[in-house]
Amino acid sequence: MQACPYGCRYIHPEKKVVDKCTLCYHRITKGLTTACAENCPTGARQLVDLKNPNDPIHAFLKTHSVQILKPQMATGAKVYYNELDGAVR
Amino acid sequence: MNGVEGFMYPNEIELHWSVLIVLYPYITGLVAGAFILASLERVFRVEAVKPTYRLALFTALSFLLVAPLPLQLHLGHPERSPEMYFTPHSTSAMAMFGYVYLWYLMAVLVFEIWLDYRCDIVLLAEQSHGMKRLLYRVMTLGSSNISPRSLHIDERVGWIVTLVGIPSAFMLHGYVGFIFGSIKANPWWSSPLMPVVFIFSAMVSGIACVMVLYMATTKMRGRKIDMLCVDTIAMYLFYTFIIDFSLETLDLIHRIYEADESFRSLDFMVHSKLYFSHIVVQIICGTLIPLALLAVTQLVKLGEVTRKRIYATAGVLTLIGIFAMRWNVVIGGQLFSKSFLGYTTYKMSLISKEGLLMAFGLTLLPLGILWVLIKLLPPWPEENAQAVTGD
Repeated sequence: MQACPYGCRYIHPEKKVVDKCTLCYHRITKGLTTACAENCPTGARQLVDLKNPNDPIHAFLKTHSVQILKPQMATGAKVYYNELDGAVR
Repeated sequence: MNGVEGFMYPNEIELHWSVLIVLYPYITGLVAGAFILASLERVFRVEAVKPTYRLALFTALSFLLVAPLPLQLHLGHPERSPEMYFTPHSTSAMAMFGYVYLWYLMAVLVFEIWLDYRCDIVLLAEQSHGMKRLLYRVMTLGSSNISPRSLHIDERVGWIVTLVGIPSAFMLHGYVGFIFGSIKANPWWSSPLMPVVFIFSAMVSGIACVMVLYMATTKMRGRKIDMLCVDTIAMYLFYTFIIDFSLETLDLIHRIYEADESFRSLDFMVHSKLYFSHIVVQIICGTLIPLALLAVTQLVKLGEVTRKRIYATAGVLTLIGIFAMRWNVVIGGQLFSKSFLGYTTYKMSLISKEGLLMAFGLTLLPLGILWVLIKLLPPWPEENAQAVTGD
């Protein structure tokens, strides 16, 4: 928990163990999208397949100003933000 | 929210590492420091500190036995901790440290104490009766040969164990510094100087602890304090303290001069939430005052009573100062947001698994263990001389 630069890890309220987002593993293995993407009313959140060269995300990443959070931490983050405001960190 | 200023990530509002995790590096530091003091006599042949040799080893052992307890209480499920030894995880510093701890406890400390006491244990077994005799007999582990040749071998092996023990003691506390120093997500901790600073502050606290314990126990026994011994210890304390203070100052200057993105946030924290514990307790009361006091004893010829008082005051202040240093590292490192935009407050509970009373209990427990060890195997050189000659 101390080592996560994003404050993402948390104590699971019932199991009382450290946990983090699994990107809805139980859903995406069934071909569904994540719960947060599914519930996003404006479509700002998208689950994409970076490993698939034909996914439209690759064209999107090339043509937009896309950032990740705390790039200096070299965490290999795969959560991309389109036109992220500098105040967000 | 009460106690929270600015923006915090949701998981940062409540501190995860409590006062028990402050206690853990403090106690481990005392172990490493006390052992280094013991090694002065054994390896570096500083005869003047001999009266504290066994006491220093016992201090190290008592504190080392208690060192994992804060972690056990913090994590819960102590029954799971042996898993660490059966399922090695070579890329985890924390997992690998389990072996360092075990090595240090069994192969270094217990072994060295046993070797040093073997002759005494055999003699005590002969002199005592009943349960005590049985206990001492068990403690000889079946090795009751105390011929001069055998004692000479003990001496040689003990010397080697101490020699191996010095890097082990450095590893023991260097690890604790490494755990903090290697967390790149936290700029208050992330510094390659951290393990070095931790080792030197450990030596400072351990030497101060044994000095205070020696003076206190000698007074309690109604014996005369060996002034040459405490003068020598105080001198070593002074010099180690200077190195420690220089390293911490270097770290501070480096941070101020570098002034990276976290600097404003950390600087604000030191001048607000950490002002009392960092500036007042750690730097002024816990470092500058004891350093000045010790410097006076090195520069001016003072009477015995004055020296004793100065050493006792400097020793206690040093112990408080080093505790404050651990506090500022552990608690301070969690008071600011990793977004550098907010601050939280540590609310210590009084009666809980990780509360203040528990912390007090864990601080006193090593002293209880030390008392039992002293009763079982008196570490006083003059009494041992009597035991060996059979007076």
